[in-house]
Amino acid sequence: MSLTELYLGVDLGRSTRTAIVDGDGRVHSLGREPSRLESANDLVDGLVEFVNRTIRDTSGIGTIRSIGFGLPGLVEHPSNRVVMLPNLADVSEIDVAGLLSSATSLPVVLDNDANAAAYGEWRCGAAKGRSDFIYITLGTGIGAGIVQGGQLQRGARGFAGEFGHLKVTAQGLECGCGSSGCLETIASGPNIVRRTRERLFSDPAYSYSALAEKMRGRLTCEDVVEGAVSGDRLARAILAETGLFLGMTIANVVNLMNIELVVLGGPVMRDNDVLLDAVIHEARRRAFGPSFEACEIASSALGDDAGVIGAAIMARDAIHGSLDVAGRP
Amino acid sequence: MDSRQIVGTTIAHFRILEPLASGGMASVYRALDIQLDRTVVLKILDADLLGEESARRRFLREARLASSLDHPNICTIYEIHEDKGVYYIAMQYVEGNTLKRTINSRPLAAPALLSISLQVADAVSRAHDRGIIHRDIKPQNIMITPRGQAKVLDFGLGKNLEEATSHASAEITALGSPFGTPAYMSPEQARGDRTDRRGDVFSFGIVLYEMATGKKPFTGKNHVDIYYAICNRTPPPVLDENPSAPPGLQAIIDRCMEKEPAARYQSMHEVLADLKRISAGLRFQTPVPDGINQPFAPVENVRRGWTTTIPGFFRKIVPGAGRTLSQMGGPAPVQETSFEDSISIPDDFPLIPGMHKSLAVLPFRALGSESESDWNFLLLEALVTELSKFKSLTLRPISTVARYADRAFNPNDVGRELGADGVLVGSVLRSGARVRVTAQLIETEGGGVLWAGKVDETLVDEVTGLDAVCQKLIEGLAGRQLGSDVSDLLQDESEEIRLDGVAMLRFSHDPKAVDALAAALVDSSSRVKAAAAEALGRFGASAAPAIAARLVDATDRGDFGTARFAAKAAGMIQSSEVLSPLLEALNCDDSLLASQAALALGDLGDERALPDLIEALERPDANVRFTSAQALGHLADPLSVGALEIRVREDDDEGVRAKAQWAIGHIKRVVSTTRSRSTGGIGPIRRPVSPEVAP
Ligand SMILES: [Zn+2]
Repeated sequence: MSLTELYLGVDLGRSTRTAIVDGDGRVHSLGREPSRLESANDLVDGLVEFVNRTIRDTSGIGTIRSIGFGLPGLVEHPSNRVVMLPNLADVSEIDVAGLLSSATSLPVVLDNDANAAAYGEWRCGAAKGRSDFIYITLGTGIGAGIVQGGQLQRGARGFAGEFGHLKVTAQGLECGCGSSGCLETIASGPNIVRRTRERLFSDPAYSYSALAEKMRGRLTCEDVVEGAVSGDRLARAILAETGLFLGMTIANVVNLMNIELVVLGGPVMRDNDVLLDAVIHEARRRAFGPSFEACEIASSALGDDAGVIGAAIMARDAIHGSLDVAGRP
Repeated sequence: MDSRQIVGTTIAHFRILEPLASGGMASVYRALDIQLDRTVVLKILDADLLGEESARRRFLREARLASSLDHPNICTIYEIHEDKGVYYIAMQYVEGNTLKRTINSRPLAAPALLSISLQVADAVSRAHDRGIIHRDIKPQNIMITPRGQAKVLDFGLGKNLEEATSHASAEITALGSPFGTPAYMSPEQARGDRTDRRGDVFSFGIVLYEMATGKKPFTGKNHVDIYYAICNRTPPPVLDENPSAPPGLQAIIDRCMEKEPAARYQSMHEVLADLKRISAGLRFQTPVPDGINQPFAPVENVRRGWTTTIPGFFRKIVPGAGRTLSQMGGPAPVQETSFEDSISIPDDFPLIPGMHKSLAVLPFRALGSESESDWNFLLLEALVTELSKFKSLTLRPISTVARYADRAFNPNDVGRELGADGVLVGSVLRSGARVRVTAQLIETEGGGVLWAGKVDETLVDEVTGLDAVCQKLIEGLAGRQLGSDVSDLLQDESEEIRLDGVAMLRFSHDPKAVDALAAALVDSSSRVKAAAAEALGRFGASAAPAIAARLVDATDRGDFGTARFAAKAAGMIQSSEVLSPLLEALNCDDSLLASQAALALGDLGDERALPDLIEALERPDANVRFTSAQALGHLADPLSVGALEIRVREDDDEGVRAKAQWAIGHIKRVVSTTRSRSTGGIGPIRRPVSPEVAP
């Protein structure tokens, strides 16, 4: 019996996620554990250890042929260097892809996590068959993968798609990237929670919100979304405001690029019709009518797993020569 | 289904009570929401009629968006349900008549017309702000409650229904659209073009015209004639139809009904502003001539009803008509006086010191939802008229005080602007037939509250009640009767009055005001507490001892609600006197108090708070960690960066992580700008001026 050929996707964030995918793109298993955030070396050591363990655990069902690796930072192409990893650690001195490759003796494809997720949605998700779309992921950070003319757009050095660091206000707050006024300081998961917490103190009328009690302990973005869905006024106000900024930024993209599809994914968008509706409303209001009419705004089909599945599919396509550096399948 | 058949049945959690209407696409019922035990209006419509899936989704999305509209003049949509291809839309049940029935083919009187149009314009402009266009504004879609409140129905519904059918009927418009009301359409709508908020402006103009004349401006034997009239005809002037229509209304209607959208008002806000302008002008067309000490004489052309009751009022209040109770002029304040006895007032007005006394009576603020500005203005007129009979008093004319209506002002500034020695300000709170009027006489120089009082009255009818209120106020003023201490107002059982009392004291320079406000922090209402904290904050360091004492006392007593607001006030004043009570509050067990103290310490900007705040970053309560991170960001001391970095990495609350991340970025920026300004190291770091909470 010949063992099945498998591909491993890895998605690094505050937790590290893995996906095992076969040649047909079927997902065999998903894994997840917290990343080690104490230092850059700990982060990479933990990653290598988790990946090796996953490979060992898979040996019974097939052979892993290659690894696709996505992370939330600036990945230089074609050098494969991680230039910046703002929400995690400074790994710019470490050849992460090379380390992972020599530790596993497997080829490694490294890319920005939003590019990987966009690739996943493109090959087997909400953007299947499209050639001009943008995938936007909202989680700890906000990123995007841009496909135009049937080609993943990386820009001159590979840094394109930093949607979360588009400036949306001149009076904005300082951002983890060193600048200020970035969309991320408003619409990322942590910042949605931050704004919810702030609102409690700035407006006593909200002290009756069901979220107020949660704020003593751990409040998550999911709590805010659930609150909004069940009609909590504080949560609705926060998401309405989030939709305003996000929708405005998407209107800019629609006007700028005349894309046919915007896919919204990442943990913030999970079961979040309230935000989706607000975004669509605002984007419609702000974009050129004809451009907006030609564009669909939809939720991700792969959800939170888009990044890790996309990375695995990238690994598969790379080894079969159907993925070139430009990301052309 | 026959609408009668489903009466009595239960659909989802609605029991159908009675049919209200049924149209081409929807049936409307009065129904009982069994879950919430409230009466609702239930609109049932067949989703198929909305057309394809995308149209249905859009319908739901927009209806849901409209359901987020929260405005007193918009009928609230409670919920929207879809079940097996049928939509159920539950909305607020509003008792009353449609505007159509209220108009009943006759012109409305000017006050009603203006009141309704202001309410509707406000509602529509609010909806436009939220991006919601009505597209079916007509008198049938506006309810008038028995109390005269207007409620606009069907936001987010009419438009969708209409759009959906217009696909199917783009050609049949010539024969008559099955939905929509042609008589209220804008020209672009009649032509089947894309419409925007300016379409609502046009339709609103038609409604205005109908209220002013009782007639529709564009009529015809059939829809085609009506469309033609809308696109090409100019309706007869309003004044031809109704000579007593408010002056200025014609111009507003004309501009609303411009055929070309670009020539119209571009937003409902502009319409609202113009309506307010003519409304104010009308209200202040006063029978009292400008000038002072005019001998009183009833004027023939004053408001209906008012002239007829003047003699009674006149008899009671005119100076010298019965100077029987001389003790009223005495100096000692009397606590509460009953006004059952008929009393009169002296010539002299003893309250404002000095020989020449000038007084400005400012328009009364309307509190609560039921106050009527017309009545409030009549009260102002009456007071000015009567007070100008005091020989020792020079009254500022109504035309000059009128501009202070409906806006916030500082009485001392107004007093100086008007060159008045004293300013009389007050408020009116209405609830059904009951009215409560409060007033304060404030000295322009020094800002002391010379007198404060309140009058309760049950209005048998509007005008006689007005007489009584006016009389009591003047008796109280002239005789220093009624409550003589502002702090009495802060004890009133009505929350609105207490709030207003606090609002008054905000501007006071009276040293007693600080103590009264500090006492108001203990109020049972958190709105009053919040207002008192805000007012105390304006006093600056002079309020520090009172705030510190209140903070310590409330913290000790475990009254954390009060302590929280005291901490908030402490953060607004720049005084080291509040530092140690705030540190104590930061370390207490109450989550919200400790958090408020942390925020206040950040605002205070005293680096002595640094160690406690860094320690508070480790507290089990996430609110405290969050607010401490914010405070440390404001203090901007690089010493705290290490502790904040640990939060960014390890905190299990993402909001705390985001706040700590911000604080680090903020501190770095402040430090680098400070460095670049001075070569001698970092130096003392001033509290940065930063956007507090963004967005
Ligand atoms: Zn940024």
